[in-house]
Amino acid sequence: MLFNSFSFFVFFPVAVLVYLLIPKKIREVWLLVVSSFFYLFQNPKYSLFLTISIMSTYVTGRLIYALRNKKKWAVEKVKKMCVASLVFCILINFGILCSLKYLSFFGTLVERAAGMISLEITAPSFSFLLPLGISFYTFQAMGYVIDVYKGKCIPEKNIIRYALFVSFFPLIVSGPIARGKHLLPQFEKLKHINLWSYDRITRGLSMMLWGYFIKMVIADRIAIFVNGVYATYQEQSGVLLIAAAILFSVQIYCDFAGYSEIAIGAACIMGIEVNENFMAPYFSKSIREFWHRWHISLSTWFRDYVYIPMGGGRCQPTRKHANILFTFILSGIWHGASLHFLVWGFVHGIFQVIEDLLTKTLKRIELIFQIKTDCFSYQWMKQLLTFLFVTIAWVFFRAQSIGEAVRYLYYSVIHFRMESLFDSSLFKVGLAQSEMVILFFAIAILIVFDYLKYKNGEKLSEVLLRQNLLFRWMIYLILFFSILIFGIYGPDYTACQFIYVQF
Amino acid sequence: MENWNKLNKIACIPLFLGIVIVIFLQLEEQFRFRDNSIFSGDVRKAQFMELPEDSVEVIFLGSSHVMSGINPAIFWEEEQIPGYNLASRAQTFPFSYLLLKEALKTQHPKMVIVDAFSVTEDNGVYGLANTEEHLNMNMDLIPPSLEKLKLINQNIPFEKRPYYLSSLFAFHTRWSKVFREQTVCDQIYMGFCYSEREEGVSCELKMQEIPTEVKGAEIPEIDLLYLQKIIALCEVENIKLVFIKTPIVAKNNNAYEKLESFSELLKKQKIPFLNYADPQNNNHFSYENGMRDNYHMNSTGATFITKMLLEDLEKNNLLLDLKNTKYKEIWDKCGR
Repeated sequence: MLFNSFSFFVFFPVAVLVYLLIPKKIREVWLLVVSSFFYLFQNPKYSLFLTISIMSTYVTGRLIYALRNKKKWAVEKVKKMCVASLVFCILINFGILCSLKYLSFFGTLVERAAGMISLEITAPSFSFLLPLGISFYTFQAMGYVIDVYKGKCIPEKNIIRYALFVSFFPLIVSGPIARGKHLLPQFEKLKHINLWSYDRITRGLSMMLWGYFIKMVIADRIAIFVNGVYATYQEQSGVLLIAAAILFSVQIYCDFAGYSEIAIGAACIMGIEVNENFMAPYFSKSIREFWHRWHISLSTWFRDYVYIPMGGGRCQPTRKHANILFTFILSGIWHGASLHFLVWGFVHGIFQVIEDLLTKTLKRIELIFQIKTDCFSYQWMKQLLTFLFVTIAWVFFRAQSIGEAVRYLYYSVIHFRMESLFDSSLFKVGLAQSEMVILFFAIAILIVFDYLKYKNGEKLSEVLLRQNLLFRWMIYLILFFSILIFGIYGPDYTACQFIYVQF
Repeated sequence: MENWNKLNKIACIPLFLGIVIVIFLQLEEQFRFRDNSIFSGDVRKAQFMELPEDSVEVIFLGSSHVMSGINPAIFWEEEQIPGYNLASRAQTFPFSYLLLKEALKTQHPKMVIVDAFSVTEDNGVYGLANTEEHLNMNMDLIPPSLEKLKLINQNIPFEKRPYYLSSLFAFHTRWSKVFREQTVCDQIYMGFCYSEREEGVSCELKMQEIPTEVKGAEIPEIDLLYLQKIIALCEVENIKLVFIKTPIVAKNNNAYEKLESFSELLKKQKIPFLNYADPQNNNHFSYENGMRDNYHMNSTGATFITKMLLEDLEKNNLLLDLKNTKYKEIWDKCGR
């Protein structure tokens, strides 16, 4: 069930209303029931892998806890048993993920590698049905087990609560990837808290409203243009290719941030606070900062469970850079079983390494030439450069192959014709002039709200709650009716899937 | 103070929702589909709703076949029978029924003439002519009602239902279709629009495909259901009900077979059915001169068929009590 489908608009109010009305004791059970319905609505076959993930991580968590309390056993023995349990659990969960998502990909890689040394190997092809949200819930469940192993999280006794933690419906399909220590105590408190809070419900609804606005008005509108340009990129002028690349940066942000905002808002209405997933990433002044603001739940997951355990930044520069590269390659491949995702991750890793290497030199240059670093022009330049690099990297993400991405970038330069910006060819790739004007205004609104978020660290919903009723209502109404009038949906369109749902 | 704040907040919710509903309904009106062709059903309905109460004695319902094929002005000129052509594009029985119910709110006609287009459709009510646009168009003519909800609920896939419930959902991305050209309104008189064959339209004016022996074919269930509803409604309202089928050239799959079954069905219920698609019933109709394309008649064809209809109604003693000159000045203006 997609957040922008009619089924969800029927499902969500019913689920919430019943949730608010039922006795406090059965709130968790109800949430689990609706989460299961939400997940299985798409395809009941998915439940098998989700159940394995829930059971294996739950049992491992309990087992590690039980082993630690075995006072009769030697410390070394306990440690070994804990490690063995953890490794076993990791093997099961990542084994499922890798088999379903990457087996064909690895087969193709082996074929290609063999081809390079003139060996003919035909790898068996596998076409599994990839369970919805498997990358997200596997990471969430694994994060929990690792936290339990590290003693950062107390293992959950209640199987219903734990199953709810892994399958909580706003988060299961595309995150944000929550942590056990953050989410589980909140589920426990559901028995005691009053859910009828006007402020919390309006905050949640306004988050959802904003999420739908950026998804349906901005992302889905841009998608028409970007899909058109990418489908015919060989014939398009460089200016259009650059415009499409820039707009794709906006599209993927609005698509995924929109999803996260709806998910966080939906959870908020149900009394569950989920951490932010995006913090105005395109205002970042470096790639490093960008990754502190983009898909925060995933980047912190990789930081905590991959980068830091490998030594992180507290080691030799060469090792540190290798750690960065490895983490980003892994992050790239997490997004999809394809080489272009891997290259996308690698490009980000390289950018970060270069950034790290140039930091000292840059500071020296600033000192020698007495460059003012606190003025807005300098800050803007850094933000623009970061955006430019991120946009270049997105081309590898959006293209169907590495070759296509390289050709796309090449044609952007070779076919560059400034006049195509003025000869109305911009309006011939799916979006008419009026549509472009709507898009322009919508992006302007996005920039304003994102800038406020960047400056004050506050979300639109929080800012609005402090405003007078008249202003607040005006914004709600504008957003609501903008979605209805300018949103991309209706008989001529099929609901655009959220990009990250496929991962 | 705290209680006062709570009350304030509680009062705000219905107030806010009220504002949302008012704006929504206003937008809903703006985002209605405006058909800028002479087959516009919404112009016909709008003009019909503006007529003085009880000024219409005969209502014609059906698809564009009846819209282009029956000219109420001839009924008026020849017999002083005020009629109105309330057909719309691809109007099938469910829509004819709902539109008739709507029409009966302001008019009390003595006769309703319905085109059998619905049964000739290839794939039943949601078949060939019933593309999303046609369906939207017809749904748009019907105001919200339980009956409409039921129709949507029974026949539209779940995910697509909102587009049929609200014109805003259906047409917000089709701006060009929500503006009306005044010329269209001016061309429609008593629900009829005079037209000649369009240039460049090819007409395969052949009738050799009509089978000599026609066996019956199954009529879609939804058509049968709404046929009975139309019959029941007319009985309750004491309205004479007549079914017709205007001449068509192009042959739908099983069209003649279905019409045969339909004829049998109506015979059992003693409801007149005048099938002009059958060459035996329209001996003098000239397909070469009378058609504008494969499905629709031009003005010449419409005049011919309307006169033939009048004659047939007279022959069957169905024209009694239909004359009404109460609103002569209105109908005289609408003549040719």
